[in-house]
Amino acid sequence: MENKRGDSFASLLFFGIIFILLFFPINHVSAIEDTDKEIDSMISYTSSFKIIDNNEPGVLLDLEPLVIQRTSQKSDELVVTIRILSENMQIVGDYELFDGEKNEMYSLEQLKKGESFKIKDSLVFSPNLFFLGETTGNQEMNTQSTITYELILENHSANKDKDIIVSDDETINRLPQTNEKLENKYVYIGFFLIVFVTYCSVNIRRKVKRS
Amino acid sequence: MSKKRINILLAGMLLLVISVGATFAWWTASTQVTQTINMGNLAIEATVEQLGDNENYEPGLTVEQDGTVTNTGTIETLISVDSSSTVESKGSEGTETAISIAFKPLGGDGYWFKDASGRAYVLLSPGETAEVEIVSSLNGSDMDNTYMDSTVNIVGDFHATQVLDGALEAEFGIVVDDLIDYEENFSRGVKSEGMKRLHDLTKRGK
Repeated sequence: MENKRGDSFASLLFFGIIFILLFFPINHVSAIEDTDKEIDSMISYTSSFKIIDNNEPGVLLDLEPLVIQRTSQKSDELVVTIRILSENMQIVGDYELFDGEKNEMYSLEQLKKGESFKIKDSLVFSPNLFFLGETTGNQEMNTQSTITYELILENHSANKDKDIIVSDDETINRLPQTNEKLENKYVYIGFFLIVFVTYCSVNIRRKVKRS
Repeated sequence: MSKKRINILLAGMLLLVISVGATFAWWTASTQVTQTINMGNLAIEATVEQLGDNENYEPGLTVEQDGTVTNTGTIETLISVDSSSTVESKGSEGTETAISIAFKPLGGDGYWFKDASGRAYVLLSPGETAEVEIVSSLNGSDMDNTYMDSTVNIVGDFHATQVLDGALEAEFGIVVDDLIDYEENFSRGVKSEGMKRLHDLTKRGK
């Protein structure tokens, strides 16, 4: 009796794990991959900058602004987190942010920690950076420094599935093609149900045969 | 391993899977864009013609030598000269204040300025060369009989720095407003080309 209870509990756990493994993580991983692809269709951003040559301490760097443009209105709320990675401690200054309506100033130190911004239409980050002359000695001559912008895009949509995955009614209703990634969660649920029903029927047959 | 333990293990795995799922509550994507900055360099080279006759000098005389100073760096620079001359007298040698050195324009490139004390400065762009006359003065009032038969090593110490107020103050103890044209042949209120260039360069500063 105890063994039978243990068996049924273990079976339940097994299928529970199979269900979660099949549905939740795979769906999430595929969602992230989809979002990676989607980043190009939802926003555009300055992808490269011209190299600033012959810079000297104390002179405002002639840096191009980082422009992030929203290209899709499908998502309810698009948030970008900007984190600046710069190893050179002599680079100081601030950024002027224009979000289409107002200007705000952010220090480089603030942005090094990371700041999040909602993208309505566009964000323009104009850098006012320079090498601090008082601390930049001759050892910095002919050296190369980099400022890396790390952009983390988050989609805070109320209905993520509809908004993120590019699909129309035709895409949702049609059957997946060979080698096509399964993006619809109902396919996973259906697959799980088929496996579960098959297992149950095989188990019942065995029990009937034994009895 | 008992069934109870297996069940606890499986339940733990279940919780782990659920919690891993929960960390992907928001859909995110990330990318990086890099801006590269190359620093320039500041360097100068100076040449001075050697004296043909360097014997029997006496206090109150001056030594004139022609030379050149070149900006071999990649940024604009303002250059001046100091004396690091030494005198070997009666077995001792040290830096000598009785000898002063100045330079003045002879030709070539660059814009020339001077401060209130009359000290000259030349502004050179990368690759430019100024022809200069270096004048070393053996100051009579500072040289007594102990200087007789001594050997004077005249050393001109060229200093160059960035054309920014902070750098000028740190190196020469002046700001750009302390400078005037070396040759004051401009009407009052009219800036020379050199002064315009000097002010444009200092405006770059933060």
